Amino acid sequence: MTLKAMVIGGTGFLGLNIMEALLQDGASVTCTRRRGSNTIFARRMGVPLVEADLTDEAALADAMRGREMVFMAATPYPRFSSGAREQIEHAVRMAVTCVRAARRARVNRVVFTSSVATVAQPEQDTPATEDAGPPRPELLAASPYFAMKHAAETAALAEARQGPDLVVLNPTGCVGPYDYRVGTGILIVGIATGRMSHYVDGWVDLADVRDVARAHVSAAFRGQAGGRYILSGETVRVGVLLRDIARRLDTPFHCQELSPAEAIAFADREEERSRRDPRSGRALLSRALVDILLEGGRVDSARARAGLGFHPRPLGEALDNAINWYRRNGFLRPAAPATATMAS
Amino acid sequence: MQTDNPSIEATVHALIAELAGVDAASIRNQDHLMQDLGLDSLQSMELLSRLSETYGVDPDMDEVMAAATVDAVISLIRDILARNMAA
Ligand SMILES: NC(=O)c1ccc[n+]([C@@H]2O[C@H](COP(=O)([O-])OP(=O)(O)OC[C@H]3O[C@@H](n4cnc5c(N)ncnc54)[C@H](OP(=O)(O)O)[C@@H]3O)[C@@H](O)[C@H]2O)c1
Repeated sequence: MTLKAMVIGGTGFLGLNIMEALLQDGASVTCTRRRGSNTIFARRMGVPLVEADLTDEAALADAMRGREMVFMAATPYPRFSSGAREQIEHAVRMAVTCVRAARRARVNRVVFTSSVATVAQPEQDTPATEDAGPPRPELLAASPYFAMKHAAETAALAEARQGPDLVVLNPTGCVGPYDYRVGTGILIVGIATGRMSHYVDGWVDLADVRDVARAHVSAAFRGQAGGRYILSGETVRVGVLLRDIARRLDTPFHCQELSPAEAIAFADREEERSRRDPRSGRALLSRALVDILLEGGRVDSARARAGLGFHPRPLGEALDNAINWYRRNGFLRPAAPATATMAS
Repeated sequence: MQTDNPSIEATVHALIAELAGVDAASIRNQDHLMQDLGLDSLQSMELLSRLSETYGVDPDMDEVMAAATVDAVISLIRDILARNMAA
């Protein structure tokens, strides 16, 4: 039987990869779009695009009707780190609306893309697991990114107690095709174009988005309702990773290392400049990325490996593939226009 | 689907005016989308995405990324339409 799926956020990075994985499995897929969505990639996949927005529960439920499985890859992440409270409330509303609409439309299951940011990093030097509990309160108070991801996931799980089934996936940073907003891809595009002028060292975990997408499809069938699954790849030091990327790009490495305090101040200043004057270009370093890099640690995807058959490929292969995608699609020209520097 | 060339220019100007929040009459074809009109790269992609839906064309992303001026956007749509016609 053909699976009938809908991907909310199918015009975005993870959503496009989830759609590709579903289509490879022969599923019937519809994709939500908004008026201003970039549909260039989604249209090529030949999937029907349905206009739906997470701000309109009734219309969203209409779009979901007849679909067995909904993939929610559209939970917001902060565009700027100012106005955190409003952004957190917005993310919670979007998550809850998705679950309510799915219930109304009698969808069997929602596969909810969250983030590894909702998993606490243990004090001891052991990898974080799904059972580690939520991030510590000081981090939630200090980082809008962590706070938004945690609040939205918690709200979705709570709402889903009244149905339908909900499975949460917690990916680490994803690299690969279709990151056209240049989220995690800033680590590549920023080095290639020289836009990544500063960085802060720390641990970062990256996985190939194609493996993360495949795990989403698997979660639709094999994931435990109410369960959470970390999808991680390889954990590396940021400085080592950036130098490795420069080597793969065959470009000199000119990125300046900042201390944690300097990096936070620099990112806040950069975001403020960009927010005040969008014409001056995106922030050279986003606060969300700084928070992620400073908080990063080793994570354990044993549950997803055992339960979802998750098999992340080696990081080098993921990076080379992502580099090739950006090169083919014209993102790596030296004069490439300023691109987003927002971690997602 | 629209195909006549003079209207392409008018459609491009109208859409840029909407996205950049400027008066369509003030847009010149030599204007740079980012420096002169203040569109960021995501808005430029939205511009090309919406135009490609209007005209039923399928641009490559590297063509989209390379279109930096109003003129380049108009030429890109015209070229793809001509390419499709010849095919
Ligand atoms: N990228 C990563 O490395 C990564 C890692 C871990 C977790 N995640 C999480 O995965 C999710 C997807 O991330 P992404 O990188 O794929 O982001 P993305 O490329 O920005 O895609 C976001 C998608 O959500 C849609 N969307 C946003 N607001 C919406 C609304 N109100 N109604 C309906 N659709 C809406 C967007 O539609 P438009 O195209 O119209 O804007 C787009 O299709 C996010 O929750 C993110 O935090 C991402």
